[in-house]
Amino acid sequence: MSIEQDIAKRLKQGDSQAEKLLYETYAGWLLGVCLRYVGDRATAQDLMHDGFLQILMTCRHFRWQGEGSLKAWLFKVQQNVILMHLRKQHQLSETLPIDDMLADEIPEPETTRYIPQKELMKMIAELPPGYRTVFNMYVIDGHSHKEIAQMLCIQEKSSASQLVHAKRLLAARINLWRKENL
Amino acid sequence: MNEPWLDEIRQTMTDYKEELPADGWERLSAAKPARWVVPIWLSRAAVVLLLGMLGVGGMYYFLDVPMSVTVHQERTEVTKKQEIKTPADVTEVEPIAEKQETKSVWRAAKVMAEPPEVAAEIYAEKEEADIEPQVREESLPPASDEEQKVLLAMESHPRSSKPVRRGWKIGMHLNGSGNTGEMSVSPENFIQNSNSGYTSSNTLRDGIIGSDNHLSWSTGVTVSRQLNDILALESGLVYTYLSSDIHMSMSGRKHQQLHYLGIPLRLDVFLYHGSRWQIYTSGGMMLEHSLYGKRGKENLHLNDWQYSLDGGVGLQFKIKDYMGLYVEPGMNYYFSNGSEVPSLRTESPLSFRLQLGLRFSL
Repeated sequence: MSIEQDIAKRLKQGDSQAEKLLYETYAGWLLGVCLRYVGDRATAQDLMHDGFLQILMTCRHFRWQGEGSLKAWLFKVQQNVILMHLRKQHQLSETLPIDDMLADEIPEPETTRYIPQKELMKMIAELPPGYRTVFNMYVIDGHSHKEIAQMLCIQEKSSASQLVHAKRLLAARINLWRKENL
Repeated sequence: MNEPWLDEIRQTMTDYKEELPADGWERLSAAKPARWVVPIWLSRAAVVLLLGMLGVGGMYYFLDVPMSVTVHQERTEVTKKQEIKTPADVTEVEPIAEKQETKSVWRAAKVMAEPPEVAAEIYAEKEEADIEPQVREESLPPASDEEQKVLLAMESHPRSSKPVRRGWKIGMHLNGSGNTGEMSVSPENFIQNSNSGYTSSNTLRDGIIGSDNHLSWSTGVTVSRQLNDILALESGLVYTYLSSDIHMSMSGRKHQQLHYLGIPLRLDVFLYHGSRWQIYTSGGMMLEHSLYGKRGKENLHLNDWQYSLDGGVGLQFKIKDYMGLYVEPGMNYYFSNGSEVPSLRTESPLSFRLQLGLRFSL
C-alpha cells in the first residue's frame, strides 16, 4: 500500500494523526502552488491555510481512485480557493500596457534548466496577476484555453492573448538572468 | 507544447515546495471546527445491535420461547397428582385457594348429588372451569423462594396486564433526518497522466467539488399487525426527499433534489402498555429505489437501489381507542450502493431521525 493510499484510508476512518501526516506531506507543495498564483508569501500562506481547512473538513469523504488521485484532489480544492480569491480581488484582468512588452528571443531549454527553483518562482511572481494566472494554468497545470476561459469567466481569445504576453515577459526576464549569471 | 523551455519550467515547478511556517499545523488545528466523527466500529456496532434486536424478536415469536418457566408446569403436575377427586366425591364447591399457588386453569364442575355416571359425563364435557379452581391449600407443597420469584415476575410481566388489542393498524408519518449541513468535497474524475508529477483531468469537466446537504424528509403510509402483546410487524410505503446544494468547479452552486420510494419492514417490541401510553423499541430495514433526480436544470438519470437499517425508541399516546399519536427518535444507517451522486446518505451514512405519526386501529 502506498503512502497516499494509506493516508486516504486512515483519513476515511477519522484518524487525526493521518490529518497531520497529510499536512506534513502535502502542505509545502500546496503553499508552492499558492505562491505561484498570487506572488506574495503572506497571501499564499493565508490561501493555503483556508484551502487546507476545507480539505480537513471534507477529507473523510474522499474516495481513493488510484495513485495520484489524492494529490490531484488536494490541488483541485486549493486551486478553487485561489481562483475565488483572485476573482474577488479583480486581479485577473490586470495587464501591462503594450509598449512595455519586449520582443525577446526564446530562451534555450538549457538556460531554463540552470535557473534555481526559487529564482524561477520569483520571476513568475513578478508577472502581472492576469498573465501569471493564465501562465500557471496553461503551462504548469495543463489546462486548455477553453477550460481556463470557463474557470476564469473570460474569453478564450483573452486567455490565449494573456499567455502570449506572459511568455514574452518571462522570456525577457530569463534572458536577463542568463546574461547576468551565465 | 512545442516550446522546450516551457517544458523545462513545467518540470521544475510542478513539484515545487515552499517552506512551511513553524506554527502552521497548530494554527490549522485550532481553526478546524470540532466534529464528532462516527468511528467505523460504532457504525458497525449499531448495525449489529439492530440485527440483534430483529433476531431476538423474531426468535421470541417464531420459536415460541416460553415466558412461563417449568416451575409453573411442575406445580401443575404436583397439584394434579394430589387433587384426584372423582366427580362422585365432589358434593360442594371447595373454598378458593389463595392466588399465590398457580395460574393454570383447572377443569372443575359443580356437581350436585348426581348419579356418578351422569356426573362423570358432565365432568368430561366441561372444557373450561366456570368456577374457580378447587385446590386444597393443604394439599400443595409450599412454594420455594425461587418459585415465588418466578411467579411474581410472571405476574408483573406486561403480558399479564390488560391484553393488547390485536389486529391491524394503519399509520401515517412524517420523518426528518440528517446531520449538520457540513460542506463536503468529492473528487472529480481523474485521468492518469504519466508525464506530469500529479494526475489531473486534461479534459476538465464541470466537476463536483463540494456539497451542502440539507435535512432529508420522508413521509409514508404504514400497515402494522400486532402479533401478540409484545410484538408488532410493520410495513408500508415511504417517500423520501433529499436536497443538497452542489458546488461545481466551473458553474458554481446548483440545487440538487433526489426522490426515493421505499418499502420498510420493521419489528416493534412493546416494552410497556398502559391505558394511555405505550413505549416500544423498533428495528428494521428499508429497501428504496430512486424515482427522480435533478441538479440545477439537468435531469439525473438515477437507477439505484438503496438499502438501509433503522432503529429507534417510540412513545405512543392513545388519543382515542382507535387512534394513537406517536413520536419516535432513532437512527438510520444507509449502505453504500456505489452511487456517484453525492447526498446526505453518501456523505453521512449514519444519521439521526425523528418521526411523528398517527396510528389507527382497524
